[in-house]
Amino acid sequence: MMKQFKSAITKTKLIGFLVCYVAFVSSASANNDLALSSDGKEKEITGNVIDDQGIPLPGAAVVIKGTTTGTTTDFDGNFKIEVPSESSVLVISYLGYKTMEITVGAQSNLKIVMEPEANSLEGVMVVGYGKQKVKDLTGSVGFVDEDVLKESSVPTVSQALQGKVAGVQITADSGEPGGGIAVRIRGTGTFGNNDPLYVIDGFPTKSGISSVNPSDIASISILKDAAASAIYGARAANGVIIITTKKGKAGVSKINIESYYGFQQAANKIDVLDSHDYVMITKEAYRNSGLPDDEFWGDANDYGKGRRYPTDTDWQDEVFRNAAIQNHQFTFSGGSEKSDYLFSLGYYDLDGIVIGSGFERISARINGSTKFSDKFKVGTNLSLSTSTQDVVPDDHSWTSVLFGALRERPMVPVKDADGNWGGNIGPAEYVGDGGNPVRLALMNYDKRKTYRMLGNSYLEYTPVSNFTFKSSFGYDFLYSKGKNFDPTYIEGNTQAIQNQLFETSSLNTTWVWENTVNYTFDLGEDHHFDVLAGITKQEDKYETLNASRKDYPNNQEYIWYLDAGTGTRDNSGGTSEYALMSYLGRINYNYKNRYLFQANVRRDGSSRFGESNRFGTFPSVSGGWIVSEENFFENVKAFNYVKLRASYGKLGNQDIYSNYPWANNLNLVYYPFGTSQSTVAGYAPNAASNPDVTWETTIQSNFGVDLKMFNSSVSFTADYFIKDTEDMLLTLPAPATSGYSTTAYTNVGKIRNSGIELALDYQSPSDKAFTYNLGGNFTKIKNEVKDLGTVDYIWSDQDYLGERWTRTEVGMPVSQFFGYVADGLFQNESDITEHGVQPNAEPGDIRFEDVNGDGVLDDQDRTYIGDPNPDFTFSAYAQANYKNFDFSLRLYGSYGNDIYNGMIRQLETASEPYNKWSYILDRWTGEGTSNSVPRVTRDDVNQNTRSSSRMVEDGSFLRIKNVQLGYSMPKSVVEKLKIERLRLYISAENLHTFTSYRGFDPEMYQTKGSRTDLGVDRAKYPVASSLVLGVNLSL
Amino acid sequence: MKKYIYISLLALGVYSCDDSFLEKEPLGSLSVGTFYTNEEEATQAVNSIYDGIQGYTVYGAMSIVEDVQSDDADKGGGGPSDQPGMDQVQKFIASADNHIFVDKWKAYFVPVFRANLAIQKIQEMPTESIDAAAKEQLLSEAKFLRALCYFDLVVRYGDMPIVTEPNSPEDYDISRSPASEVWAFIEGDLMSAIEGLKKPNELSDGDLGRATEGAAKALLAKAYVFQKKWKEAEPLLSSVINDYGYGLSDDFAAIFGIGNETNQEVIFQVNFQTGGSSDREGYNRNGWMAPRTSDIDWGGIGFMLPTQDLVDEFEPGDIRLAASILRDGDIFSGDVYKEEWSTTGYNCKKGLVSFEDYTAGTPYFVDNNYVVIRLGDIMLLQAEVLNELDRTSEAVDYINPIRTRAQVPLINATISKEQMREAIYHERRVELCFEQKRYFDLVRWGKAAEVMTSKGYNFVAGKHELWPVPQSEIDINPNLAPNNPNW
Repeated sequence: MMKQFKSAITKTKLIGFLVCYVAFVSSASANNDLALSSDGKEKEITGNVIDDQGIPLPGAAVVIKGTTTGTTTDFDGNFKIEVPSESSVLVISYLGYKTMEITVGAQSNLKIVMEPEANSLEGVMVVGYGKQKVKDLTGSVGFVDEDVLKESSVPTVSQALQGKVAGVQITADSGEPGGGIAVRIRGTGTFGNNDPLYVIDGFPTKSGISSVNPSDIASISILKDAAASAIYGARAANGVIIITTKKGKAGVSKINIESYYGFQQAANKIDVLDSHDYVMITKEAYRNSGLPDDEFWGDANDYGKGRRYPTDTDWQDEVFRNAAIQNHQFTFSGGSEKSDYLFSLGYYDLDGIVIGSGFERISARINGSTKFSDKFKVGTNLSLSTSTQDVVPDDHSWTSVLFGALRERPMVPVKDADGNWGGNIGPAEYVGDGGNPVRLALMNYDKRKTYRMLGNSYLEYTPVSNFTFKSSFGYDFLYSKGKNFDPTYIEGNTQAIQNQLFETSSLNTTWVWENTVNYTFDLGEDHHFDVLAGITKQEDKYETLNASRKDYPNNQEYIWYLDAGTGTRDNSGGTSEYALMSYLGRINYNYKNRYLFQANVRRDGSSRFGESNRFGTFPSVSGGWIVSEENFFENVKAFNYVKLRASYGKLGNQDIYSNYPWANNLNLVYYPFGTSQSTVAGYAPNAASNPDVTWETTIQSNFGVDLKMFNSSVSFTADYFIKDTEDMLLTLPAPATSGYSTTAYTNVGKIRNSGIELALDYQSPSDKAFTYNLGGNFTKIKNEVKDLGTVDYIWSDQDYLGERWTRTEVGMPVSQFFGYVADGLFQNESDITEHGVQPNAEPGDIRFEDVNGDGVLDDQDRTYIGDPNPDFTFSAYAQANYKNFDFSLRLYGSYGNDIYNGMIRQLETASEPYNKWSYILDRWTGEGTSNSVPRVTRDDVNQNTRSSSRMVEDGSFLRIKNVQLGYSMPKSVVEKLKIERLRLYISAENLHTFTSYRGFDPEMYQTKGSRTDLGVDRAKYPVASSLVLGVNLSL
Repeated sequence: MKKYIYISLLALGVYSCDDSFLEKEPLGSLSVGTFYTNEEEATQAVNSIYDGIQGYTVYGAMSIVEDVQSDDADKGGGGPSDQPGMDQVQKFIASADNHIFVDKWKAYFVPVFRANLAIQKIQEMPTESIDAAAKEQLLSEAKFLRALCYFDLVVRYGDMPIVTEPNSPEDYDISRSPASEVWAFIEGDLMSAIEGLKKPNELSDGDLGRATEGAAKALLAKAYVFQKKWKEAEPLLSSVINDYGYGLSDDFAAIFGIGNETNQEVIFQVNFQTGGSSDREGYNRNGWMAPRTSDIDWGGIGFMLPTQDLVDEFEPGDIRLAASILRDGDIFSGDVYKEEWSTTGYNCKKGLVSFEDYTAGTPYFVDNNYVVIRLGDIMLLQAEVLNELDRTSEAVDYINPIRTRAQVPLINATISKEQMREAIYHERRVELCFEQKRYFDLVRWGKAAEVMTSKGYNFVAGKHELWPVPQSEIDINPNLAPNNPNW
């Protein structure tokens, strides 16, 4: 049998060789002056050209730079050429691979490894448990390489991916340094965990992706449909992001230094009242409620700079800052025929635009492999990192620093005359629940450190060239440590008299052992097979240990250790573990290089489910037809490549918040008895359990087309998908009589995401001085809840000041805004009488619609008032090179999504002593003065602040995501400096955002801390605008 | 070729056949299936019921709601948009899905569930696992607590679903039973509990706070009073007053203050204690009541503000006024109280503790207990029962000791039954204000509509005597329909 395969391989190679040879020769002939020069002082060079898989490339063109002298490689990739001198540069090119330039130097035998071009059809893409040529793909896979990642100066992989791939929605739900990025591949498919699975150099993980240094990444593949991701089975329902880190390259020893430094700032502020206007409005609110025109504040004209009460704090100026950002990366790499190595060291430091926040990461990576015989190869990928996150309190909440900066009143000083924090003054009505935001940011210390070691070692056994056995063992050690200190302080007339230190730690260890065999063979000339089979095992353990003590002698950092506290001690700790065992298999069948077929199957067993439901099988099938390979297509000149794809398969989601959802556990509770009131233990279950619970199943179908047109200068990809989550795990409201507030997790819900994804790219001819690349992508996803088990709707899991602002109902997209419909203002008494259902209202109050027309305005008149899901998201980019200059631009946008502006609730009401949004100056003050901003009132008899359509705003935006301009030193300069490359650049991130949304930042999706809510804004930490200067240096 | 495949498959097979690898049991927690094996575990199951009634919306902070709804108090806090649900309840504009109604309904079923589970599991325990006396005692405690919950539910919501099994599938579509059957169920539980519970003086020091025979009798008597079963109530009330060593506390304020666990007037209370294993056991109602001002270090969020109408109800010289309500110029916790700290000019003082007793430096974690049943209440009920049984002259023996303590003039034994009734109505209001009694007394007396509307409340007769079954509960279990009249 072997013989047959070998001959098949030989034939393929031969054909490839001939094709390329003919191509080269014909292009050379076209040039007509290609002749081997011979001026006598030549040096003879031999070389071998291989691809990154080590496979020889026959027919590659080798040309001496600046001349027309050249040759092509033979069947085994070898070439021989005579060059004029040691400083000659060889240019090696091959269709589908990046053109390489090599200075000959003293060597006489060159080993040249060609890198596939990312977007080319010959390019090889990392897929689950292997690699595949782009042209052979039958699934939907997005691909991003290092050049594209370099566009942005952001600390995390997820941020760097924003807008780069159709169907992948990435949202900075919080602009906090180092946190809060939501990645959604093809929509919200569950109320559970929607995060994709990350596979870092073969190691599957869901946690701590911010510890991965984007500068270490060579490429990212995003597996979107069932065909591509089913090989990851019960963890693939939310898609899979495969991260491949950089490797050393044979024959090239390199030192790369990348460095940038810059500043960032908040893009905009929200206009709030100054002290004069605040007092004026407050007094008016009292008068409007028939209350005595409050004596406490006195005359509004006494407030403001240069007046009797000069304090007029701009709290946003106090909490925002211009913050530094810097990144330095050193990479040493190289290799020989048998071995390669890469060592990198990175340092990233980002001060947050809000005082007291920041992110720092130190990372190191060692990647290497060696062939210690023809048949055995061993390798390892290891990364070490430490990240430190300084967190300011409670982003996305009423008690956040930013919300505090909006609602703290302007006449309160940051610090008072005694050096104490400025704070609440005055009687009951003037006391809010907020605190001094500067104190909150600077004194409530919250530092989270993460130490991570993630790596794997592998052995590859290749007895014959088409058969490989690989065994890989990976280990992830993720240790997180937090320190949180609540200080004592005096603020206004209040004081915190007890300080407290909390220390938290958690250790998450995971090991994964994967064994796979890969076997490729041909049957006859036309039937090509690639078969993969494997078994994997994984075990994950999580432990926590937390402790706190009260009463420290002072608030200084040096004392922040548990032993120094003298007061009450508390501690807690626990553990939880799970295991997975899986069998996987895949067959790729390629008939005549034009009919492609793939089948995947994975059988996963998870300890998270009861014995009877432990194992599940996740199959997928897909097919592709390269139409352009058909004979009848020969005459269609405009299209170089046309492929139709279709796939169908089943995926799972086993990530369900509990490792033991089947177990009926007892909770420990306490109650004090006795004359000494000492607490005793009690035990009761506090949540229902379900022994039959199992993973969520997603059925996904995908139809796609890939086109290359006009000499492959235009690429177009379109996909249509339907993704049905069935058996969604839900806890449904249970009747209280059951003793539980919800049922156990039950597999009942259904959500459908369907949509289209388009990507278009134009590459200008590469042989001009000015080259450019334009493109964009477009994603439209329709989300629809199909079934919620026994109920028709589910309320939000978030209580906002006694109200629920979203609801999810069958037949609609998830998380719809819910409330009353506001319909202008009552201008006079007769408006109120005519409307009839709001007898308590007064002119200037909001008219709410009696939606159900029953003549009463009550809870039943609330309805759906907005949708946080965008109609579509899009991105557009331009890249250009002219001589030594390079330029890139990327736009990102979202259209048709609403935002629930939760800030209005507190920044408009005069019932509470908070500062107000300055638009309140345009309030109703008499008939005809306004039909949108209600009168100010202290007692708010009409409940103007109730959840209503007034809070819903259009959240569409278009953002200039990044702009970069670079200049590479000319060859003459770099040669003098004895370096390979020196590039300087200036790069701007989030340069400008076009939006009508009034909050800090329209980029919003999942509401922090909520499983059900999308698009609710409570003064989110905005993404920063930044400007950096950078340098790339290669030695 | 084949041999490579075989070698690889062998290598794969070596470690693949171990299914036990996937068996991961929860670590660090106990399982329902293996618990309830001895007296200690049975006791811990019952302890969890007590923890249930400590809940935030049971006898925790939200025990202020019923008085906010009455003519005794305004909601207070930071204005109408602060706790708008409670604001609507106070203004009688709430609808059936107001969260106040929802939260209380839900919270009470937690201890009911725990009681049902404990009763089921303890009953199943074989004699070798637990001795008969302990078993009876624990079952009786569970039944007392279940009856207490149902008492609170039936007076608020009327007809109730009677749940006696823990999380039984049948209870997911259970219907409501008429209030009369709920009362009968409560009576049954309490009669059984009276048999099995210890007398207060039989409790060990460490068990102080557990339900007693006296508490069960007192609650049963209250159940009879609410049903106007005067004859059945009288001997029970008499027994509670005479047989268990309860006595009126000389110091009225001490009934509600720190250390009240040993107060002789307390018949049953819910215990709170800060510190220990968890701060959550602290009494958080205190922070809700403390004045909303930053002028003082003991400030809170200023809810449940006494009305002028209530203040006016006190007779001149009644020492209970100063013990129950903070007025301008009062000294508390070393500060002079200012009326501007409250929109009514008053703050609730009953049960409020001084700053020095703020265990964790915040008003939300203090150590005094919430009194559920006390002798003062029982004596006034006995006076009421005797009066209704036309034994008016005997009634003065139960109202006058209360008045003596309050330092107000005694009531003459010769007054008419009607006068006595009015005297008792007055006395209960001033004696028991902020103890969640007022609203239910008004309803039980049939005076709610008259009193509330006369004071300008939006009370609708025939509707607001009961709370509605939460709409969300009817949505989940339609068999709970129809709702109470006019809701």
